[in-house]
Amino acid sequence: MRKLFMNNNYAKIISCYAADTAGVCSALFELGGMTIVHDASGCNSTYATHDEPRWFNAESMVYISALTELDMVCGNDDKFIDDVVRSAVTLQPEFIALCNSPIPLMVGTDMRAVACSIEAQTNIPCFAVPTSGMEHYHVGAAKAWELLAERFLPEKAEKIIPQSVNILGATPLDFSINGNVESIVEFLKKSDYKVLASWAMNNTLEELSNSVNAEVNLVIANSGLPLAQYMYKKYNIPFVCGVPVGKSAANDLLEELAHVRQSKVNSYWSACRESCENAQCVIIGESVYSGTLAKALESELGVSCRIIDPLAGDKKLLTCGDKAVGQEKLIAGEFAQADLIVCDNMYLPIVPPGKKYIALPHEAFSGRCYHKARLNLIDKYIDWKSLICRK
Amino acid sequence: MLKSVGKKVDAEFFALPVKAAKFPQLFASELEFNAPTRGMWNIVHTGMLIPRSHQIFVCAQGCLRGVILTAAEMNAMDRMSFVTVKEGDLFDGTLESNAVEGISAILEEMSVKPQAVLVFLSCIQLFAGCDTQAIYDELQKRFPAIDFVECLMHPTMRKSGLTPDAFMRKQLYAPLRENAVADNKSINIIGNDRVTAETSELIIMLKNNGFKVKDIAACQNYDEYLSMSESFCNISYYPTAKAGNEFLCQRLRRKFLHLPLSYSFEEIAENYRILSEELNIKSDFSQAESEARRTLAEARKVIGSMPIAIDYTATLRNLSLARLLLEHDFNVKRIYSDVVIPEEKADFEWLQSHYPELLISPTLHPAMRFAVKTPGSGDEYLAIGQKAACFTGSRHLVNIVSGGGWYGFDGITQMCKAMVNAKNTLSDTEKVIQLKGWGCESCL
Repeated sequence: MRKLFMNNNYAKIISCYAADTAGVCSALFELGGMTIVHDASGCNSTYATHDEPRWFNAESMVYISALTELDMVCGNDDKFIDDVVRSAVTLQPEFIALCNSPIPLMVGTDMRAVACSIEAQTNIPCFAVPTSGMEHYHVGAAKAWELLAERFLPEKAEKIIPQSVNILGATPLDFSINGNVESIVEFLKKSDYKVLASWAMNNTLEELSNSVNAEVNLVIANSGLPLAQYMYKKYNIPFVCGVPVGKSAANDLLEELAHVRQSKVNSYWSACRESCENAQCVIIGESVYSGTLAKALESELGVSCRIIDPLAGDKKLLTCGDKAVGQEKLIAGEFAQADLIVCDNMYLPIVPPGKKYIALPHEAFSGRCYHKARLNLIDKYIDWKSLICRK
Repeated sequence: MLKSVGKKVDAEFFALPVKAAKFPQLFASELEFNAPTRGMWNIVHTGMLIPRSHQIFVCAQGCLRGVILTAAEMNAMDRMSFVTVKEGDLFDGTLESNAVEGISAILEEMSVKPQAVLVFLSCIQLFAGCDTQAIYDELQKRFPAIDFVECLMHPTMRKSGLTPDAFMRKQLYAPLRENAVADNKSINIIGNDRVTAETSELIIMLKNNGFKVKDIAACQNYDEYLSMSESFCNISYYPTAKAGNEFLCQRLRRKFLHLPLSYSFEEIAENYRILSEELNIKSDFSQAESEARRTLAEARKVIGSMPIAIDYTATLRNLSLARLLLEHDFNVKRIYSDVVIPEEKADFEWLQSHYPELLISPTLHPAMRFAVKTPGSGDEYLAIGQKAACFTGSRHLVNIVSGGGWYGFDGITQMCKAMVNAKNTLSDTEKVIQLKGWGCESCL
């Protein structure tokens, strides 16, 4: 075999992010539905072990179809449909969400037709979330919430509730269950906001339907952005992208929320930064959180920051100087140019020796490996210097 | 405390009295639930048994995630790498070249090359008709000093041919050399996750007869591992190790012995009869047998009528174990199993005729989502296996997987001692059953 070309889609030592199927399961986990990944095995165990810290303590119906080679080769969709129907009739979920893994994707399983058939037989709302098992988690979560909104949100708002807000983009993949989302809710409440819904942690499906009456949406992760855009288009609810990290950024975010409520103009606030290619600090991770973190570091520590988005999120969440880079070798190159690196612990093997770093575990990357080191930086005075280590 | 986010369903409804169950598939194939028990080894744990080896997975992101974090949790990321397959790769004819170039790049970046590289391809390459042999041939050509081991993560094919687990146990020995000279005083134990307990009469008998006993789980370096090529006889006893052992013996032209793991006094004795005949040795196991009988009686006294639940993760011969305990007046109330393996057919039929009302529960059935109990809510049970603890809510846990490395009469003795210990102590089950790869290092 002749050497044809370079393949950069490899990693020698770092981890990989959770996949789109996990994003779907995580996004819908608490809503009383039934989520089924059309997969042989593995997807469910991976999700339940590494991507879902709620698995042991919450009775959520997330399953795999346990497909086999024979079913796939022979196009035996009936078994899949019958199995879902049988379980749904017994377990009576609020809705059924189906998602594809690589093999049914390859053989061209018509998941939308499968969903129609299941819905017709069960009278339970059923939809297919277009996944492949080959995209990042936020893509799956975003699609799941959009489809859910299309199916379950009322056509129109009843009455806009003054000073009300929804939180969009809450999953443990980005905000592990160490009080982050609760702190965001608390922060908004103490700032006189009424939090109508959090998509989708600590709320029921019924509570989410109240979202349409909000004055503004707060997008806390890129997974929430497509839903925010949908709600803006359909209900004219403007949004702000940002997370109340630290004190100064949290206060600025409040101001931006107030401004957007007035102006009704969407704000990619976390990306409204001065960023340059030779910034002292590189932050790698989900773009809304990282962007806010950059603001916090700039104002509280006085360092210039830029972001590396390894998840290929929406480019509007980046600013000039930021980069969308996902390959280990290229990321290592970016790290080599920085004085300070803020990253998940599983990036540390490619942080050059002698560099300063802040390790912030991110569930979507390192799973449960660093649960003991998780931080909740929401609306807190942060002693940044105490977080800085040297490799 | 379990938080309900769906409708409550009584999972008990799906349990079957053993008399109503059918061999081998006890419950119809359905959607599958994944119980939060993580002790069972997966292909990553097993592959790591080859000393100084490195694993490279070539598959889709969703499939990579679990294996990468398996390695991470066992503090072995320095032995794990991956090449991602993207959707476009499936259709543009680059599956082979992407794999070769990605793996080559990883290896070229290593200052010290591993002696063996386990290359894991997956369902998608097989479905796409990828020329997998071309990948291995090219890699071998580029890196002649490395042993490339053909491995698969192919759960879609789990019901066609060898299961991924059995296949992995076969490939564990692929680098062993065919041209090694046979050593008539050296014997391998094949296909286990952990070394067989030194207290086992099997090991004692082999050693007392002058044999050196080798096991991959005890090998400290690659040369020691390769020296397993020399053993004249390979013994397996775990059900999923048999096929691999058979293949290995044919390839290396060695004596094949499969002495099934069992909890039956008769079957164990028969195993030793075969062993002594095949190796022409005297097998003296009377002391081990008496000890097993004594410990069993003692355990019965301590445990009394405490209800016992057994699952298949503790030992694949869980029905054999249930039979032993029932024959000795233990109060076995519940078995958690989805299928009956062929080795268990006789035990299954015995249970059907002697204890027809004994309940068998599935572990994968969708309703089992609602059967996960709060730890401590079922402490009246003695749970043998992590799934038994998970579904009964008992903290009286015999925390082993895959037989625990216990074998023979000593296996019964060790099991009884562990049961007595479990009766007298409470485990932090929520924590221990969620640790991945029982017996492996864990960063959690």
